[in-house]
Amino acid sequence: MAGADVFAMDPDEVRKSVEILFEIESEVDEQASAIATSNAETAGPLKEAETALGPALEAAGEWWQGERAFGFGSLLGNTGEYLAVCAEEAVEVDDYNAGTFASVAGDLYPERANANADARPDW
Amino acid sequence: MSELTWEHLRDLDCGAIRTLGDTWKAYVEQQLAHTERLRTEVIEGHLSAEHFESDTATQVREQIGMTADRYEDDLSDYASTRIATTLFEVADAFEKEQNELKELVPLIEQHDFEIEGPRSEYDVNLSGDLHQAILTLNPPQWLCDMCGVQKPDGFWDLDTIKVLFNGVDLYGTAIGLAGQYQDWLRAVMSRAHDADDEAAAALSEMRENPTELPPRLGATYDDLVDDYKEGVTEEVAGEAKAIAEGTSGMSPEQVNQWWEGLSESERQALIEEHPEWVGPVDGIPTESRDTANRTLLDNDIDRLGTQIAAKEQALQGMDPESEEYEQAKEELDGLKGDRDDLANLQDRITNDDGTPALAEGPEPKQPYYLLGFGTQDSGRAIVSVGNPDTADNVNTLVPGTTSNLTDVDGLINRAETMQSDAQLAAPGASNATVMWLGYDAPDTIVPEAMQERWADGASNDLERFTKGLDATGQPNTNHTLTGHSYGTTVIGHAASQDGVNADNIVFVASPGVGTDTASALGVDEDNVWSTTNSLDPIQLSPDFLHGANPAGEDFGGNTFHSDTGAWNANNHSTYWDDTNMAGRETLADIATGQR
Repeated sequence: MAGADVFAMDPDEVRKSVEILFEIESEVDEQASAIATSNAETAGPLKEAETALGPALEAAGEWWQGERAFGFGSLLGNTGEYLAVCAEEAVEVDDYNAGTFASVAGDLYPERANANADARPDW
Repeated sequence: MSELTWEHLRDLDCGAIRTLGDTWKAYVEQQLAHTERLRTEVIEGHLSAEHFESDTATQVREQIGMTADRYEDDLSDYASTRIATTLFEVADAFEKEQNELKELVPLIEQHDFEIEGPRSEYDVNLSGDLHQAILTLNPPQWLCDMCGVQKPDGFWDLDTIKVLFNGVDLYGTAIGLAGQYQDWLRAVMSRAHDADDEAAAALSEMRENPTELPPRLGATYDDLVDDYKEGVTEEVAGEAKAIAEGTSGMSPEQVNQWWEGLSESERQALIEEHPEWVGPVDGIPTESRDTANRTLLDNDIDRLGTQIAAKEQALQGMDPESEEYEQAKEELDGLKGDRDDLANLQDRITNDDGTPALAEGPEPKQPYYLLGFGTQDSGRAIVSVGNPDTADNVNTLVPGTTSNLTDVDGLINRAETMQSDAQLAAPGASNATVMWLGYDAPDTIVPEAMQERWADGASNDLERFTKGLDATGQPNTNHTLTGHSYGTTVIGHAASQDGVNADNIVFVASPGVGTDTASALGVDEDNVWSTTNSLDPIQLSPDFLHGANPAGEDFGGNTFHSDTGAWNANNHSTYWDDTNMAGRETLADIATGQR
């Protein structure tokens, strides 16, 4: 990679990192969905029993899935996409955006939402 | 807010709640495998400096490490400590009250009583059939047995006439029993609602002020990540502050898990830099609280000294005849009183060289631990003789009317006596005795000690204190809660309204405990004990003030004998004197699990 501050890079190894990051992102999303479902199933009867716990538990499960687990997975996805670009061409962290990923690595990872980011009107 | 009915509580599937807790625990382990993989396979593997080396590469590795760190903290703080622990705690609490209902509801039905009224204030009343049975002189067998009359088997025979003449007793007895069941039911539901609301609060508060996630790679990342890192350094302090201020919603057990999850340096920094967030907090281990509280005590004495000097200076410039002077003088006296009280407490628990003092008593002598103090109202002091976190037996004394910081020496003397008695009763065991003046005690017998508000005001704090002892102590510690005088009322209110962690409850010289039955206390009735000596005027307290005397026959539980002091002594306060070795030895046996 031709970048000012890059001294060494093995693109294949970076791409393997990308795959792991995407894989964990996907598993985290799937597992968060499963725990949120279990949570909601237990919260249901508690809500029917008019406990204070029932609604709070359901909200906690949704919050965990939507904010924390999703947030973690999303950060991994973002880092993975950045690295996917790095494996193809130099890009500074501050210059990176989803459109860069689409233009450089979108064809390699077509299943990702950001693969078509450069076609969006806001790009 | 909990709107749980007794029928709902009876039918709740506590096993499902607990299973969900297990599911969350397993989920946490599953997720930790992801962060482990990030570290080993990405940061130290494919993305190591060997394959990817530059300032940017270092930054990316840091980003992945930060992301993993954040997720691990989230899993610990939220998924495990908040969600899973809340589920386990509330399942245990619901199940405990369910078991009470399983015992109570059949008794209500067997006696032909009915549960009526709104869910917040259930009534247990005589059914129409029972009314009719009593009115037609055909009372049920259980009622005849309770009143000591034979059940009539014909009209106008001798037994019927006896029943007729005992009619008032029949009604009174039936209503009295219904009243006891009502107390019991209300206590069960009060504790269940309390546990429900606390669990909901723990989960809701979790979402209120969540920690920030690391920023995403992209524009302004460099600035954002600096802000994030700064936030991380303040994160523990923010959590500690919220816990100390009571806005975190965390139970003492959750506080304990949070504390144990901090690094040694984080814990030390909190003790040194913010002792006010450590000393008073239930769920933080005793040693740490003691260290923090001793620092706070030093600071408060110094602060009061400075304020006194400033006030004295100000007084010199005032007209001694003026109202302003009078007010300033009164404030000065208040400050001096507070300083003297705190200095007295410090002298009691500290050696001349500043190290923690040892209490009087049999060898091995036990050190004092300061678990809390304050000068507000009549003052607060929570002092343990021996370390409750390592003890086999912990007895917590709740003192009563007129207890205050000024007279803390006498209160600690009683705890010291109880500790000595326990050590003599169980020399092979480790024991600790806590003097818990963690509430604003009534200052007067009339009218303050006649009011329930002091007990109600103390209830939640006593609940949290006992649960904190459970969280920081050994798994099988034998916990006893001993009240004296109005302290028994405090314990009764806390036990029946909020629930306390206690294996045994002991009422010494009680004016009533806010309920008419030992069954309402949430502790095995066989482990509820009462004693009042024969010359103690407290036995003249009328039932309408704080409920039936727990030393009375109908209350349930056990009673034990206490000797009187001299006839002209204040026999309400002789229970810890040498004239009452019988009572003291029994109390020591209870507190050390030998009764």
